[in-house]
Amino acid sequence: MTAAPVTPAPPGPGQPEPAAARGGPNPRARRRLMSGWVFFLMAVVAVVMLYPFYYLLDNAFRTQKQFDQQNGHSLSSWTQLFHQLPVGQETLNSLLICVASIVIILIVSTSAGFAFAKLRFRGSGMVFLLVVAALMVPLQSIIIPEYVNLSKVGLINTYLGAILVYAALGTPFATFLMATYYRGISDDLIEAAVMDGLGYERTFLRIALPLSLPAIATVAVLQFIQIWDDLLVALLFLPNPGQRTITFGLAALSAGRTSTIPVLMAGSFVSAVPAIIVYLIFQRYLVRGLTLGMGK
Amino acid sequence: MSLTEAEQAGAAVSPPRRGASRRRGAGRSRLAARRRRAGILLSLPAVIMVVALLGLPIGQAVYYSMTTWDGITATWIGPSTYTSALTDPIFWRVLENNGLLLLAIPFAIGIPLGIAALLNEHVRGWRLFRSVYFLPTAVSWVVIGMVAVQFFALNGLLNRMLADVGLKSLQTNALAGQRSALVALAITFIWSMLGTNTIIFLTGLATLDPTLLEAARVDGLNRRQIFFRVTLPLLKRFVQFSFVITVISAFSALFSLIFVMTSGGPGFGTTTLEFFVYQSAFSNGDFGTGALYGIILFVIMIVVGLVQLRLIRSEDGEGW
Amino acid sequence: MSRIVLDGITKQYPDGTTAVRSLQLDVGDGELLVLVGPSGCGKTTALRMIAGLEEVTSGTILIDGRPVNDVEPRHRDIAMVFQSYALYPHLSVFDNIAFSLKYRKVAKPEIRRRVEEAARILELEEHLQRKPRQLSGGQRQRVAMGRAIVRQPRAFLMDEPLSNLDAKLRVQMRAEIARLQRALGVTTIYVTHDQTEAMTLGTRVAVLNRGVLQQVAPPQELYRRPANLFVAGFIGSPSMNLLEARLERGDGGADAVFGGHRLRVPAQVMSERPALDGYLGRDLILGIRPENLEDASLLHDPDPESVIELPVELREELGSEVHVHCAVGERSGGAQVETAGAAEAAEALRKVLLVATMDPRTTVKEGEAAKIAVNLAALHFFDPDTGERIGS
Repeated sequence: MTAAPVTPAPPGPGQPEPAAARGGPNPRARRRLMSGWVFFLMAVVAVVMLYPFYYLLDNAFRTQKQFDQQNGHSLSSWTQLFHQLPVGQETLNSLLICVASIVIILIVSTSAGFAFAKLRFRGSGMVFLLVVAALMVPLQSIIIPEYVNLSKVGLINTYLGAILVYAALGTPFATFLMATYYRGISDDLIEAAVMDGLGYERTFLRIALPLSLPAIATVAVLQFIQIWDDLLVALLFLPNPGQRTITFGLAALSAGRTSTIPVLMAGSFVSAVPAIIVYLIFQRYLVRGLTLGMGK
Repeated sequence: MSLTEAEQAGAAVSPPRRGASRRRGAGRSRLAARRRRAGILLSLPAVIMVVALLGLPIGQAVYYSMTTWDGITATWIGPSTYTSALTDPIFWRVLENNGLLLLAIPFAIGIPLGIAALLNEHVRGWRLFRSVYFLPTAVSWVVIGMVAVQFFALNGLLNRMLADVGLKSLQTNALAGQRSALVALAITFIWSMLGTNTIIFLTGLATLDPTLLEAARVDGLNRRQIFFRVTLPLLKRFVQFSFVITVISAFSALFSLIFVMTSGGPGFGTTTLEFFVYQSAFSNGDFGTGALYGIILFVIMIVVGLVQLRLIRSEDGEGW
Repeated sequence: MSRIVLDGITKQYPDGTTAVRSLQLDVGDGELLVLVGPSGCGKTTALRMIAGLEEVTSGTILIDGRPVNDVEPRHRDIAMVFQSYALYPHLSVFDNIAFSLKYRKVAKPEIRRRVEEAARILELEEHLQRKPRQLSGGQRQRVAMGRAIVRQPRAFLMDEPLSNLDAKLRVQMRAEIARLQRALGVTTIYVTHDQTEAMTLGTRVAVLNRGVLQQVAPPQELYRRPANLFVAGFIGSPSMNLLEARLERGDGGADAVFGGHRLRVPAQVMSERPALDGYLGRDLILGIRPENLEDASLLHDPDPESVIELPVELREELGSEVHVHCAVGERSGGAQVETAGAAEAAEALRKVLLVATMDPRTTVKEGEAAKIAVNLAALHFFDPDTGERIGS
């Protein structure tokens, strides 16, 4: 049995509600206005964030004279850039170093992350803490002894030297990320593999590793951007013109004060593009990586 | 279920042999031993890397910090190097620069907070905006620095914009004055941190329990009150995380920016500690002093980290 | 102390799904009305519309005669208890309870008085300075209630407040809530998916399915005179047995025929349901509650026209009673019951099973035939096409 149809009772003795408290004459329109306002603000922020890139690109296509007058476009700065800087070579160098470093980082951090997360052995907690604490070591603090050590072993001005340093710098955070990720994998999976007869090492290779591809992607992307964009290590460990990274090459160009501004702009663009491409393709891994690092 | 139980189960599953009970005991420890061996084996490369390339240099830096060292020969002096460094007025100037830059941190955190709140409204196209805001993080500080130079230069973008708006009188050569260069540096720093911190806060906002906000709405709070009294306190963890990251960046990642924008100048106007390390060692050839400042930098980072840890612990009453 | 009226409210989402369809309800002052139904039936959506957390697509919500569709939640003077309790983790219990009062500009001493009073009623006094995470589930639930009580609102809205508690605690808290509501006399709208909770708590119970109100009535009424197949199958545990049957003329009266069995429909039952006459010679759905079936051998002198013999498929011992599952015959492929809700209630199985709740002394055995006595006065009849109850 349902209730009988109702006609609203006449307004009782309660106080009348002020119009403002009721959300205005039309709350739905008001909500749309708010959305519009939010959109506008976001657009403003977007302009602030993007304008430098626009400026960069715009002026890369000018000559110095055109730059001063902010008028006209040409390709001459680009050709100048390629004259003044072995762009292709340096980009290749950067690529080589990035890839090699990332490979090492991944190998080292996945195995260690798995060990700390799943294969808890005596003292592993302490060691893990130590490795992660290394995150706090600023590059500048160790750069000098590092330089001296490596030069004694003759690794200055070699790719290997820079690669090793980058790998060491990236390992703590990568290990932390991988360990966090592995901790999220159910123990049951590991135990099942062990009971099936796989040793722990093989369990890592066959089971844990394939499962951790998202985390691996995250680490790879984060490290790629960091290594590609790094200056200090490149500056100190690979000063030879033939072996420079593109980031260092660009900085040297700027410090050299022999280039025109449009050329520097063009150079900036070239050095920034690969990292940006990697970012655009793998965005969601970046966000996930930050989340992993923060959440439990 | 821990692995120890699995070990017992695994051992029990192995084919029964004579003297099975004795075997069981041996089986259990054998599995445990294998696990230990695998653990050590797998974690060894990482540990070696960290110790050799990160840990060792720190120890060495401590040693070298107490010597005069030109990169080849080191002459021991002792802890007095610290006292002479700490009484060097330039050192304090440098530290002052770092301190002043820290003033930029509230902005580097507050503005992204606002941006994240905007994004969280999920107005149409917000995902696109998010990609755009995060873009600068992919770009090298070197590039950012170079564009910033163009922005702040005498005939640069900032002055041009001021002229367009009619504020020609405000035009400056930002990078020429010591203080103004620092301000320019700070602004550039804030701009480049916007992306990272926005993502952190956006993630934080996404993890909030919406029923808490609904409860506040029903309880009588208006939007502003909800944001400041409910949302912000709930984001505390994220604000702390962002703070740590921003401070670390302010102390160590600024190097590239300074290198490209000002080379520490004019004078010592924009020389921060991390740049000072580089400058002492590689520009002045004074490696011992460089190592010393490097150690001081390290100590400061540790202190910041510990303070953070203490703050996190004391609030919740729960550890990590 | 208020009257809340839902005047034909509808909630439709931009993608076309309709969560609530023309809901019409009149909640009286001081009443505890329960909205019950399976997941997705729209009960929580309806509650949120009353709270102001969801926009009403059409229809009007009136609180004390005043339309509040455009009024923000904080101005509706209602308090809500959320399923997850929604306690502020960074505030103490005291501050949680006092939270809303601070923003309604209540004087500090008054706040203190109200909070301590609520804490006393809910036995939270020694926990006032703790943080939510230090409390047990039941304690947190009480804090959520406390927060609602101190508001002294016109009405309480409760969204499955007991769902996150374990079974035993749930029974306890159910009684507490009922007691509290009666003591305070505040109009309450309570949402749950648990029909037992609905039956024990509600002054009246509104059954919803797929956004449509099926029936709203006091619990006893829902039990004894369910308005349609859905309500019949939803209320009562184990659910009512629903059988395809045919009403035939027997000698001197009407018989319900199903699966080769025949039950005499008493004259009184026929006269109470005049509409049944129109179904003579036609198919309909027969409903018999398990508790209205008993082992005939345990009865003193059962009317032979109320006894049927069925093979026993399964016997479940519950201690205080025995659930006996019997086979009644095959479902005919043709008779498909199509009404909304009826399909679920009737359950398209090949073998139709009848569940009987019997006295534990029964000696029926699995695999054997049992004589089952039907309480003919408690038969229910439903139209096979509309699913509606055939009655007065």
